Amino acid sequence: MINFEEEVRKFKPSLEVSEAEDAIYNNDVKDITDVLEEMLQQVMERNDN
Amino acid sequence: MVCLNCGAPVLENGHCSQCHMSYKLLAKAFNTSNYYYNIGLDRACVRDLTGAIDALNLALKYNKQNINARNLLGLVYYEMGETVLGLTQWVISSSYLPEGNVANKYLKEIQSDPMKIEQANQLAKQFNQALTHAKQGTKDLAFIQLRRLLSSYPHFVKGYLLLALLYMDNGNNDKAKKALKRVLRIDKNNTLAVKYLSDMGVAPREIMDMKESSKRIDIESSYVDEDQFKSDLQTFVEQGIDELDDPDESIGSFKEVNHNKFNLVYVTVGIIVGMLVFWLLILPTKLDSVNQKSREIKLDYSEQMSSKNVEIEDLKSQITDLNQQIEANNKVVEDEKAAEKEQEKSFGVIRNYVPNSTYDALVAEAAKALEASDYNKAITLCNVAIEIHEGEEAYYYLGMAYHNNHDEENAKATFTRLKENYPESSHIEDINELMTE
Repeated sequence: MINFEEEVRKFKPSLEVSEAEDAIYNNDVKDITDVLEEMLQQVMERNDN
Repeated sequence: MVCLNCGAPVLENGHCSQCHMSYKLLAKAFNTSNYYYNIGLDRACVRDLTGAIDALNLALKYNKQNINARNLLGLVYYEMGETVLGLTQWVISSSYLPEGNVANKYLKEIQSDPMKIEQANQLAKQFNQALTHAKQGTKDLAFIQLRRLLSSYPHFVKGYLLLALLYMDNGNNDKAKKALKRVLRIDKNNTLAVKYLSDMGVAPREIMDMKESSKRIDIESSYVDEDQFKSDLQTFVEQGIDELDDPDESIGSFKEVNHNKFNLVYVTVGIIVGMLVFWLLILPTKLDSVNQKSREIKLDYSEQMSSKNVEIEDLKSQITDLNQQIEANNKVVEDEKAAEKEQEKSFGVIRNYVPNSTYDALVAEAAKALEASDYNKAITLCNVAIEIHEGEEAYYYLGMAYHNNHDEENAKATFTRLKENYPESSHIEDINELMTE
């Protein structure tokens, strides 16, 4: 049986226009390339040390 | 070969000369990204929007610069009523590829109509308000808010889901099912909708049927669907979701209504309504007004007539009074005349009996009065003497008395009578002398 209180808590507010700018600037989701770059950076730092 | 990450040349060992990234790994990641984009595209094409979002998000995790995947993700959000999320994706996409990007077209189209952005903002605000009401327990207000926003934004999936949840909490599973059917028509594999249906005890087979029915939506003629959907939604909002037609039956081919055919009917109905309004509302008022005026004029005339009649009666009575007065006066005059006649008659009788010596005595007395310059007495005595018996002496002394009394007019008249009555009189010469003076 569905628990209303629990379910309604899962709903997230919709994005308003005033919040769009923040959403765009904070959208730094990492992709595989970013992960590979980070890994490579770490390896190179280790080699330098 | 150039590096897929930075565009620098790739060395023979398969690594970029600049960023040292493995070309093989990058190519694999980009291919996987495209693979998931394709899956997302397929799902979006069959209106499995939730599935498309999952696949496209995966595609962006492998390559965040996958323009197609990002643009499609924005489009899917936009279709589900999440306009601001869609705009966000298109803005990011445009920043990665400013030229030759379809996202620019979408952004331009939305920015060209400020109302669209305002509507999207209002939608988000109203939904957030409804969500707050639902969380705070003021569910009636949440219902009202959701109905209002869904009547304006029939593609807002999240709104339907919250509405369905409220119906379920209210124990109204039928209405909740109808709302969830709407969700499945827009987003065939919406996991939350399927979960709610399962929890309500809807058989998997029935859920599958609902999903199948969503396929009947004519994607190409989205305008017609939109109208049909709006009309259904209007019914849904006004009459309750039970009155809504089965989606299988409600979706038909688009037929444009020929409004010209009805123009004549509209005009005729307009004329009839106008005439009825005139006949039932304006005419009675006018007639009442005219009758009222007529009554006022009649009343006015009646008042005038009665006042005139009163005047006539007064005048008649005045005439009667005057006639009576005239008769009375005539009677008085006749009486006076009769009295005069009687007096004259009596005087004549008396005169006949009065002796001539009286006349002589009166004339002698008059002459004495004249000598004594008592002209008035002389005039009186002469007049009495003439009444008794006309004689030249009486006239002479009377004329002299008038003359001496400076009453030339009577003097002249008296002398004239003397001359006429007694032309042989011895006083004629004296009289002529006096008259020539």
